[in-house]
Amino acid sequence: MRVSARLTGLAVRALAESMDVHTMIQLARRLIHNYDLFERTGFPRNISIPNKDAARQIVGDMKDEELFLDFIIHLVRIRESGFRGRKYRIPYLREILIEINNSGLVYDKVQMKFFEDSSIVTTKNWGVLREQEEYIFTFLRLDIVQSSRFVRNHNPEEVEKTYSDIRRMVQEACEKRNGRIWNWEGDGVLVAFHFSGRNTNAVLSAMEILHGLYVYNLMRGGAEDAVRVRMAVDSGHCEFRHRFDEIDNDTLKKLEAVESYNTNPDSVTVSSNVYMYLDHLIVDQLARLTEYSNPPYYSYELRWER
Amino acid sequence: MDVLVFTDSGMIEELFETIRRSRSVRLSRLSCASLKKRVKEAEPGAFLYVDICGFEKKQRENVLRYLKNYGKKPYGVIDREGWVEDVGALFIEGAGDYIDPRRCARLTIERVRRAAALHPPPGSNAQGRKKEALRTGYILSGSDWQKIRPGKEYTFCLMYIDLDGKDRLKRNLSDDLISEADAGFRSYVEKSVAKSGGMLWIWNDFEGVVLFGFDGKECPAVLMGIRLMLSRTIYSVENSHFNVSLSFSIALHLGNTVYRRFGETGTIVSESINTVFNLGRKFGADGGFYLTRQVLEFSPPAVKECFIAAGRFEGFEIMRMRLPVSPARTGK
Repeated sequence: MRVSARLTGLAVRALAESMDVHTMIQLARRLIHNYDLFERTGFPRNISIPNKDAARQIVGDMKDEELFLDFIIHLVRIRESGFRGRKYRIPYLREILIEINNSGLVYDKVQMKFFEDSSIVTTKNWGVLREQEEYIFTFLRLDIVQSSRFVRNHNPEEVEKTYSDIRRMVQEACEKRNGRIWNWEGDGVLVAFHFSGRNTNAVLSAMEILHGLYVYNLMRGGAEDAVRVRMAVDSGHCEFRHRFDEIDNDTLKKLEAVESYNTNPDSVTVSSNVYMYLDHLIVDQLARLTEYSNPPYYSYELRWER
Repeated sequence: MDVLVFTDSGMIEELFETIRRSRSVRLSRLSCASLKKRVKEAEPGAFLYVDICGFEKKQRENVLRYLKNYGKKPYGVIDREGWVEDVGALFIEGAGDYIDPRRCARLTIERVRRAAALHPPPGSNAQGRKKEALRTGYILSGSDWQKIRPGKEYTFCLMYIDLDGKDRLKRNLSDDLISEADAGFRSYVEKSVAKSGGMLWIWNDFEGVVLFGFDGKECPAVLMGIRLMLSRTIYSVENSHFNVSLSFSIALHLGNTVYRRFGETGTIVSESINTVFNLGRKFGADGGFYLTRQVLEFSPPAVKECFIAAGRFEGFEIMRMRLPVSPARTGK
């Protein structure tokens, strides 16, 4: 993210007007280990550094280390919960958040994180996740059932159109819920959700895709020529990489196995660590898969009145 | 797909053995005497096989003429005795298949499908449906809103939508929350139907009417209605803010009305508007999706499988959507 001069100025004033230099250094050390303000400013250790100079140096260092947003998040936390047992009034924070918002980032109050405004731009890392750092994600994996047979039985134009319709369907359902498509593999897709409500958002996206596909198949002629999918949702730690082929992660491997071997066509399998965070209205729609008891899995599919 | 076989002979059982076992085809064996009655009642999209030798020789020409001119259903002829002399003429005159059981042991599903597609009856494709619609007296309003002018009468697909349990909501919520809930529901309906070209036309107190233009070929409102019914849980979680399961009822009817802009509809007198309101309010049960049967004629064939007969209302045959249910209710 490019930090404007106005934003830098606001951050410097917020810091300088809210705490003393000693507290500033403690705060900076939360983000940069062994942060030495005297060394960085060149002030001798026996002379006290003026508040404004200290604040300017710290904000500048945070920018250089690409930690500016994390630093602002720390300021927000301090305003809400204090720092080292003391409360601080941080001025200009509202203006800072508006300024960041104007540059295309949205603040997630629940997760206390910034992420890109997907109505402006959509990137794999929400504009903020760092390469090779580990985060908690909820993943949705979708696979088109018997895609080879589908490709064999239809002409290339029809295959291309159908796949492109499915891609659009997945993209719409997931991106409006702040999910990011990490990988398309021809007949399968992996979508990541990271910010607040990520479990609910992943499951609702899967449900919407299933509904959309049901209606899509009705338009195409019903069950005989239906495009069918399997989906699975699970959550866990994963290192973020821009290049998907560089990710080697157990959660993703487990997800792939659950989707491939334990999920029926036209259904979504939900892991227990996603299930426990779901709204009761969604839980009511899931059936426990009796063949898996430890850990349990749950399934969503369209079940019809008899 | 429905396949109706009109025969009085047991000799052709083997011929339809593969079809009989198929899950995707519903095979019915009927007597030759019931031909005209059953053809009228048959579902659109049904294919008929007529054992021509089941009729008296002097009747056979009449039966072929009837199938060609009045049956309006794709058909094939079974000729056990080789009675038809000019098989080619049969195809030119509209037959989709000709079977001589002495030469063909067993029919395949693929053959029946191809036979059904050979001479689609009027009304089975988009252009045919449009011609039929014009003949029936519809005033086509088009698939977009370009040609619609206020003050003129058109045929629309009218969708009535109503939030279930609104009286309970009103009892339990403050006035501010009620108007917030009403505005939220209205906005959800407005945005959803806009994706299929629908326009919110009347709205009052958690219920309203949406207009969909009608071009005589397709009725996208049916698919939109199905989509809305499926998405009720998603709506309850994401949009309702009340943390309770909300549902809504939908009624759909194809009919004529004078078009006026939103907010200027109070003085319109229209039988179609009354019908769709009454269908939703008086006939339909909470949480149901009901439509008058003629709407289904303008929907993809597979959509018909989603609806079941629900009786008659104000002279219309009513169909009800088979609803999705939660696992607890299916006993899983």
